[in-house]
Amino acid sequence: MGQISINNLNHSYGQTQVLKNISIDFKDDKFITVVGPNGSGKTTFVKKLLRNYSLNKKTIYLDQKDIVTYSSKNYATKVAAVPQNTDIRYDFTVKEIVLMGRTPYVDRFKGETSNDYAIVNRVLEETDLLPLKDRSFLTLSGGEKQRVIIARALAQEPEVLILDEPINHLDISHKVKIMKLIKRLSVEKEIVVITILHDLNFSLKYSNQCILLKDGEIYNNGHPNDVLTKKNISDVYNVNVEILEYNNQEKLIVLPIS
Amino acid sequence: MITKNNGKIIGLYTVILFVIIIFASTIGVADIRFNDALKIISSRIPFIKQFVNIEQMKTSSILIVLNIRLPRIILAGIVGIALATSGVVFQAIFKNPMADPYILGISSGAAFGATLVIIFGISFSFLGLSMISIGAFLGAMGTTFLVYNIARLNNRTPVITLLLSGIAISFFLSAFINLLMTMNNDQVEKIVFWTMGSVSSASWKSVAISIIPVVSGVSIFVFFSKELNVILMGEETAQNLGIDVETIRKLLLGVASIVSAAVVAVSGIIGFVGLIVPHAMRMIVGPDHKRLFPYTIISGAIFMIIADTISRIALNPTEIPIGVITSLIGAPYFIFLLVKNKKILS
Amino acid sequence: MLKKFFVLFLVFALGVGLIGCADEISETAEETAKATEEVIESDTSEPEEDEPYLVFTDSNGREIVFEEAPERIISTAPNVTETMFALGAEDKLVGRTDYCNYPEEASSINSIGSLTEVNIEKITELEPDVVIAASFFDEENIKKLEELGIKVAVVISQENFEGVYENIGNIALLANKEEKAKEIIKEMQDKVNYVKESVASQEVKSVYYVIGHGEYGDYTATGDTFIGKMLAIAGGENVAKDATGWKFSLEKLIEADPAVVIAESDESTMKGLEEANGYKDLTAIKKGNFYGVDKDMVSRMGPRLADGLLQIAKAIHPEVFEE
Repeated sequence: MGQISINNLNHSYGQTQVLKNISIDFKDDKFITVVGPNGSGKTTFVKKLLRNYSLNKKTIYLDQKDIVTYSSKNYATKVAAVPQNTDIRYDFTVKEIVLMGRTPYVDRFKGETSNDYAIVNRVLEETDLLPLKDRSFLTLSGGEKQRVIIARALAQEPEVLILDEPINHLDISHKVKIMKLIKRLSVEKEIVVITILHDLNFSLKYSNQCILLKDGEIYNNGHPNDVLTKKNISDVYNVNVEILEYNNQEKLIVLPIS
Repeated sequence: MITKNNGKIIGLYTVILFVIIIFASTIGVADIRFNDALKIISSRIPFIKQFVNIEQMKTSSILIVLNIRLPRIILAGIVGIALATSGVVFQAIFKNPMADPYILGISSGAAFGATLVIIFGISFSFLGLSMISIGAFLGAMGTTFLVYNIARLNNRTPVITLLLSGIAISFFLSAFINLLMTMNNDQVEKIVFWTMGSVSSASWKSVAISIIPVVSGVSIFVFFSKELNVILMGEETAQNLGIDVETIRKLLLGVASIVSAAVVAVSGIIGFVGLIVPHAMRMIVGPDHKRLFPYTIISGAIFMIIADTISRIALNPTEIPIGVITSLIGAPYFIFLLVKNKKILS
Repeated sequence: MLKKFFVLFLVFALGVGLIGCADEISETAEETAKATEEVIESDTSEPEEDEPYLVFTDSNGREIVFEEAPERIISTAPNVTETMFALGAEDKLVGRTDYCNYPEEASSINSIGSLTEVNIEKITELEPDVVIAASFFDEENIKKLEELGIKVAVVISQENFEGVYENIGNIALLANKEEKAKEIIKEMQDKVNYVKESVASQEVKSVYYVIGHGEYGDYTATGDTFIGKMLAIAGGENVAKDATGWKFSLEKLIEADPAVVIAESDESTMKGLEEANGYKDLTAIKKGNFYGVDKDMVSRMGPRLADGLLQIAKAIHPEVFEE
């Protein structure tokens, strides 16, 4: 379940090649962070996985099946997305939005079943949103809104959860809350979590696999401790950092004073 | 926001619609007493008609109520339903509450078709439809088709390109119409009158013809209520939730165009209904299309029927084109709603 | 120092020059004045040769002086064109509008544009002695033409038979066909009297005159219009006589259920009316008391107006006018 296999993934915008021959495998129980400088191809990579961008056949496989061959509905029951911007301008309630996560499961003529509502309730509980369930989405804070979108993705009961910079615009308390939540869910639900992150320390702290992209190619792939080294960061980001160790094996990246 | 007792409220609202229809048919320029008009209408209602005797009434009164007033009231209602529900669809698909059914060029296309028919003096009818209606319908559909194809790129139609294409073609057609009017000075009055919108020539035939596309179209809209909700979340999000956005968009825009073109062909260009009724309803009952559609349907009908009634009696015996009334009522009412909801919107 | 002296010298020279010129100018003026006096004096001694052919007072009260009889006349309205032909003065007609469709021969004359949009260049090119302007002619255009030295005579009549006769008389004056005009006017007066006498003994019938219907709006000859008044002359009671501005209500029409319906005929209008919602149930339509008249004959303030009246009268009282 949640086995993703990628062979020679390419993508070009016009004449510019943005992804170059990316090949990699993911297994479940993995919390994967995708990092790299702006323009290194992170978002493109993720959009290919989500089939938002057109895809060649025999490039990406989910559970040994070419993802191009899945129907939209079917794929939506396996892969869920939490996009970067939640530009919702209509005042649906939290519950209504999370319920939309059940779309790929709901039969048109039967409508939502009690099972669907049960799942929604469970997901609201897991994301600590039950007290807010009848509130209008537009009245929520940034952190709360993000949790709602995550809850909606979880309502899809996916095998793979893909997030694009989910904590960028949140304050530190919410950043931590959300990363902890995702980590916990990835373990409890045994789903593959792939998230794009800018903050390398969060990658170190929470994920167990890190993919470092540079210019559309995989520069390094492995455990974050092994990938996010002083040398790699210098090569890819052109920044000199210090890596501090604490708590026996926990690492922290800091910018030097000079 | 109305959430509880939804069914009961809709039921009550529907009853209000019927009451308004009956009241509207008692109002008019001719000298017919209120009670007499009621009797005439009752003589057509299945159970009640056995209790009503209209034999003593003037033929002209019966003709006026049943053949002149009632068809146009019902046609006005149909037009209101068509434009308001199409407005809901356009606003959802373009994710823009300022969208209305005319942005893909339907109004200028219909006006163009009608202008050509008027200028070439074609005036026979075909299957009970006048050439002007047929010309307007073809003009509207042809224009939508053109706008769509200009914007199309490899089977995808980006929203912005569609909008721009619609605007460009509309401008061009309007200019062309003005040119034709300059060259055919004596027909200008007819052209202007048609474009201002009117249901004054309504007959049971026109009701029968317009009811078919409108009822079918609205049923299709309602059928896709859920999908429209999700599409409001964003195109990519909708795709990621398993919805074939491109196909649904094409289908719904196509149906909405046909529905709008059908009523524009019959009644001319009536503005504001497709813009403010959906918008106002969204403010009152919320964005969920499962609730939005029923309320929009009834509100669209009531709005148009009231507008038509005003257009018939305000400047007795001159009739004000209904398009003028919808704008004159529509704008202030909309401003009132905006002011009332300022806080919520910000 | 030298500069100052030079400037002074220039100013001095200029001053002398000007004074000299002034002298010359006043001399020339004196001579011209003397010459003019001589001319005027010689004028009074020979009056006949210099009197104009015609001083025409047009409908706006302006006086237009014609030294000679106008030989090249441009018509700017269909009724004027028709009048020219009826007077037998078509050889003097060098321009007409697109709408001048009667008689057929009018099409062989150059067109100068539509009723409201005339082509000033075209008019100038045709070198008219006078342009006869009718009701639709733009004030602006009158000014433009007069600036170009072209005479414009405004000939607009009141909307009644007297007005039409005056019109015909005025046009005849310009075209030098006064005798013929008298004939035409007499013929028309006879026709009008014939109609009046014939319907005098008849019962007045209610009548509705259709100008537009259906999607084009319900338009009729309301009481304030001339056609509306002609309906009365022809022995009819206009159903729309209390309405104004050409607009009427379908409901009122059905209520009134007139005895006769007249339409400005072309085949499609007539056919359309028989099938139009509301109209088709009118007694007059169902019984066939439904007639068409020639729109131009009835509305042009020209020589055929009496024929138009006759058409209307025949429609309202067909029994009286069996020929």
